[in-house]
Amino acid sequence: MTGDKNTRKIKVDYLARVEGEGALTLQTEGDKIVDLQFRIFEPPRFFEAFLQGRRYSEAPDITARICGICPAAYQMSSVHAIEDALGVKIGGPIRELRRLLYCGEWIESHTLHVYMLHAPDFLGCADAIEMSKKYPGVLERGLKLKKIGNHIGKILGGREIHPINVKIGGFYKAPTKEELMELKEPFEWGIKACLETIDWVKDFHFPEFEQDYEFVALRHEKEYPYNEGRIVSNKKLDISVQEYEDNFYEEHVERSNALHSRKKGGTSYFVGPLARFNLNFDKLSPLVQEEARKLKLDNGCTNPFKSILIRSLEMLHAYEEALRIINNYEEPEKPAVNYTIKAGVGYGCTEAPRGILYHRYNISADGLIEEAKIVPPTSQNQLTIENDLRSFVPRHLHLGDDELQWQCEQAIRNYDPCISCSTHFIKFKREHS
Amino acid sequence: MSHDLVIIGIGNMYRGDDAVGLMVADELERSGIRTIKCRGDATELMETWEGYTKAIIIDACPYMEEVGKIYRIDINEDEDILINAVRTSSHNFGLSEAIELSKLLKSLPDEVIIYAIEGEKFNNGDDISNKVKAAVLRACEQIKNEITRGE
Repeated sequence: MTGDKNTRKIKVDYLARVEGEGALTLQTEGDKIVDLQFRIFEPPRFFEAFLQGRRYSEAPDITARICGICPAAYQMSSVHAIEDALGVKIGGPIRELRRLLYCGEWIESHTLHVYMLHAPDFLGCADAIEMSKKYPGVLERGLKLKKIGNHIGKILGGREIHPINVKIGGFYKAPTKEELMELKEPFEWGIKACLETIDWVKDFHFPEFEQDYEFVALRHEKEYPYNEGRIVSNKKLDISVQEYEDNFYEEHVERSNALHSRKKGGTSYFVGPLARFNLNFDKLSPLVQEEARKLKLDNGCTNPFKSILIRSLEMLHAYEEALRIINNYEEPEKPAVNYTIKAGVGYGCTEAPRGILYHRYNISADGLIEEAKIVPPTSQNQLTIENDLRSFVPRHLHLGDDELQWQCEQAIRNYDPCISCSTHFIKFKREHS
Repeated sequence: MSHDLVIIGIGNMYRGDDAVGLMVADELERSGIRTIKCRGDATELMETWEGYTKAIIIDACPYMEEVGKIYRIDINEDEDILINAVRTSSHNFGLSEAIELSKLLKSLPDEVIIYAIEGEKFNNGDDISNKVKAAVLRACEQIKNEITRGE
């Protein structure tokens, strides 16, 4: 520490173990924070402009490129939004296949975060490589769990990364019953491995940290939400997807090229696994509910450091749900429904692994996209992440530099921020003044 | 099951020179050489090269000396260069970690050759630089020669 002894400055140019590019600057004087900036570089705005003038049918494949971790989420929000504009309704096996695609994506994303990005924090390891050396066998289980999720992407999406089989109205090609039944045995193994995962993470040490959050997630009357539902919160919000922009807005923050989302009135809100879990506990499978009760989480979870527990529970739910769909699957007569192009505005919101992902498209009579709006989960959580740090840091100033830096990073990684949804260029640096 | 050779192009087509790994892969495909394109995630790479005895990887690296310069890195011989050239690529939680993890899990191909091509523009929506574009064909020729030598 140099200069004024009461002043500490933490500058994290590139945050480690988050998906994408991000940076943190934190300056304190005594026990007060004088500057805190969590900066992200966010590509959806680039894609919004890029989509203008393109055909409506291109949106699923173009938006899938926004994120390598959750391409299906972008595809799903875009097809739902465009189908809303065109008045297309999807049910039966096609709806189930979309849900299965989403199960695969949650499994891939959650296992990556739980095993490779977040668990090292709790085990005092710098990264998954060090963790693998200290705890042999654990990472192999995580990689196998993830690989099974990838298989869904391969069968339903046409390939594992950036699926190309999704279209407005359904799929280009539906899988055969036999193709899906090949997944039955791996998914049965996966359920056992998810239970082992929960048993592994339950003994981690979680810092005490509870905040009065507004959790926002989809809620569906019959199922744990993936593709559909109303947007609800624990603070009496209950709106249709079409009303999203009446209730939330984005603002440009000078220090960042990403937009910050706020609820009307200027408040922050929290999207993602904790929000889904707290608002939809009754829709989880009986086994997941039972596991949650054992963890004393059945009355909810408001500690973001425990998000690794919630992700592990959601992994189990996704494995069970996928197995249910696989077992009950009947091939559709046609892989997609017919529709007629017309002018309109369509809205879609689905539950990406990191939280609600909102899309709106204005489409002309000849099927061109006139305007696109995409609000990813990380930009919605950005303000909440900053608020967490504002609350967390003053209580932990007694920590040494390295420990404080580590815990600040961990507080950010609680949200599994998909910062650039595009590249993975991230470094770490700390300065004193 | 063990296979001989896998060729992997890494990159992001919407981030300027970061696309070069994918462009080289496309060009090799036009010559009838099978490639696999990845975005560079560690687990994706580990699954892609598992079971192969040799992997050739094409990726962009940041500007160091000369835009469009091609580095051939044999990870069995040039570990220091790997850390300098690839750890700072736009896939930080990616290639170098995938190599280290695969070594630990004993799933790394016996031979891994990386062709790293120096870029200068990596922002969303950037065009690919002319010097990097020009390097695509040169990289393809080097890789074809490498494949021929190995046959």
